[in-house]
Amino acid sequence: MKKWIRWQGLISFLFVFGGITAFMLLVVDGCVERTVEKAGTWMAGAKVDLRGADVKLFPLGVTLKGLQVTDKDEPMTNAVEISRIAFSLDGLNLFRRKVIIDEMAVEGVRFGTLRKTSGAVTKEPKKKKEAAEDSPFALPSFDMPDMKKVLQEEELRSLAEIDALKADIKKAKEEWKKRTDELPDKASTEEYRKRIKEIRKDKGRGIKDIQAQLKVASDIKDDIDRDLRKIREARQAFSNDLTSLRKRVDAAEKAPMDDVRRIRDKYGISPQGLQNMTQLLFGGQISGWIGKGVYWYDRLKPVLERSKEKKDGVQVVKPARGSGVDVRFKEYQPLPNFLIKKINTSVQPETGTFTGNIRNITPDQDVLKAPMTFAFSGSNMKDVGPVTFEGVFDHVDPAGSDDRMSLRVQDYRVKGLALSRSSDLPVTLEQGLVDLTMNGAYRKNNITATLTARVSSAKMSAGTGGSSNRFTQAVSSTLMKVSDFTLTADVQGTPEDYKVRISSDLDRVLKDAAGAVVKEHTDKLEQKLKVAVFEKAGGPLKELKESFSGMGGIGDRLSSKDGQFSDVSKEAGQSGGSGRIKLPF
Amino acid sequence: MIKAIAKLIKVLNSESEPGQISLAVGFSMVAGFLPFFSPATIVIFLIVFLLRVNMTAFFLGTALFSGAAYLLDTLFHPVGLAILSIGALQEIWTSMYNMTIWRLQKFNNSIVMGGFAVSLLFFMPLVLLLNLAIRRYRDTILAWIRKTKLAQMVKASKIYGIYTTLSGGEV
Repeated sequence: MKKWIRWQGLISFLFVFGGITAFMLLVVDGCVERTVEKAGTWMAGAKVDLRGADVKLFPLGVTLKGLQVTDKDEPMTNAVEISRIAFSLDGLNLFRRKVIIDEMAVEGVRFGTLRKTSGAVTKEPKKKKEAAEDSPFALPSFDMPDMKKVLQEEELRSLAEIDALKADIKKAKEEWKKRTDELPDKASTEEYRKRIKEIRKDKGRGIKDIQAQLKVASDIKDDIDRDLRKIREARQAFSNDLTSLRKRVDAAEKAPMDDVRRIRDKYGISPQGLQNMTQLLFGGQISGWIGKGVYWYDRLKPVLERSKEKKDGVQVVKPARGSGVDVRFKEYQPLPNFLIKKINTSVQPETGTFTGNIRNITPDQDVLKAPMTFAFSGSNMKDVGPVTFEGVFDHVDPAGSDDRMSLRVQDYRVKGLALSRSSDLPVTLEQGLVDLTMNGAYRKNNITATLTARVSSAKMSAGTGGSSNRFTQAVSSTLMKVSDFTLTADVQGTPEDYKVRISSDLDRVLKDAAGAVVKEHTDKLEQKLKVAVFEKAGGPLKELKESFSGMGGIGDRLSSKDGQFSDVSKEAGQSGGSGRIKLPF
Repeated sequence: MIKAIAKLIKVLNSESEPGQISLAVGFSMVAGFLPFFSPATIVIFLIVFLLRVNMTAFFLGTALFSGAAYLLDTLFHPVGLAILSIGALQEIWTSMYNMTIWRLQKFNNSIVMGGFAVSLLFFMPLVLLLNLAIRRYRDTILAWIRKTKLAQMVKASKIYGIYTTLSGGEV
């Protein structure tokens, strides 16, 4: 046995592992610093810097100093800067691979601070949605389009309609001519007259002769009536066709004006477009702000919930990195893998200090059985009244997650807030008193939010970008006169595809101001279009009318035939066998 | 790679007991299939340092099996998941799950459990087979090489005498 044991090996073992432990303690601060920077950069999508990290073993705790999170859209600006974060860790639970932080202090939180170096990490192509949000306000064009070019590009529906109708009339004419020719004509009436004369000439005296005459007279009468019926049926059908064609001709006469209106609406400024001028003016800027909120909410999601699945009755948690799966068994005292029970923080925007706390930060709310909540408030701040920002991110039941938040800001003295950054019509709220309310919810992958800003004592500046555009001038001068208004933004949809609808009482004021300018422009455009369209459609329309009037000839022929057969029919009715006996019809 | 092969040949040709080499390789398989920073690996290292096993063979084997473990992840995962899902063992797993030392070992990870189970299963067969193979190698191939004229000439040379004195043993 002694041969198999080497006691000096124990000393070597202690030396090796003691050395490794000492080395790890020496580098742990650097490791924490790099881990925070790496994980933070991944979460924020932009560079995260940390000035220093300090790990203490007794008691186990970490202090992070000088955390800077770059604004992804503005790499030379920090989205948030935190001067100090300090927290102590539950050491025993850390051995169980559970990061449990009872209380964390986050001090000196500031937003929008300047960076010395760029914090961009990758040049990601902007998403289509974001590009649409950033697109500036498009000024309606008041230039009169070139009519020749317009009519080259636009298909005149009236011309197609006229051509089709002309072809139909031609076809109808041919058909009716053929049908009319096939109907009994004047020669037939002469034939009937001849037959009637022959009956009258017949001088039969006997009863049998009279009966035979009556029979012949009756046959003639039947033949005449059958032909007359044919003619009248044809007349009726012709009348129907004529009515139908007349209606189409009437419509074709109106078609060029329909073309004029359609092209005018396309190339001109529709008065309906003025219904929601605020959407047009401020939509881009407000959508941008909302887009930033949705972006940060999306970034926060991994902190709220992680993907889990059940395998043969035991819960399997997909690790973020590496391979294999961690199988979870029932814990006697369940605790999430990561939990910050409470963060006390003070945010320092320019207006003053804003304090609050966040509770139950964990991606395993279903284990903790409690939602994440936050509540911030600020009072006695410079240039703003009471401010509250509260919310609940409830993912206790991951299938029925329910996130809500609300923001109330009273008497916020706004200075130099850009409402529209359009180069054609830049609008800035130079000063004003704003009461802001925001209520938002996220349920079943659907965002609903309403943001209302009541602005009083407003002083707005609206430039025209040096443009001589009368529309811009009208809107600009109107905005500068406005002192009180309310802006409401409704957000609906999924985080990937949401719609922002902006409405305001400014809409009515702006519509009145710009309406007259727009109407004048539209009338001019319509007049020019009318001339151009009728120049093209006038000729074919004249031909159409002439072609249609040709249908009257067929009607006259039918009418004449009807008259002729009616006369013959009367004559046949007055006929007797020998002129002495009146026929019984 | 050439260095590692040379080391391996040196170990095989050394005067170490075949059992010391094969046991070292067996332990290296367990250590290689488990995560490096885990209580079980520390225990394996302690055993290896305490027992008179061949350290060169252990470290060479650990490097080899650690590399192989990455390739065998696809085998370890289903094996580990199946073991962790056995109904009859749920109580044991649950009580282990509630003990800090086992959580530190990360036994509930499918790959860790799979690697551990596979290494335990093959530990004894590997040790016994290697033992047999080393004995056979030394009795046949090594004995034949030593009898060749070239080997006799090399062994008779002064340089070889100096080398064995400095290196502390016969190659």
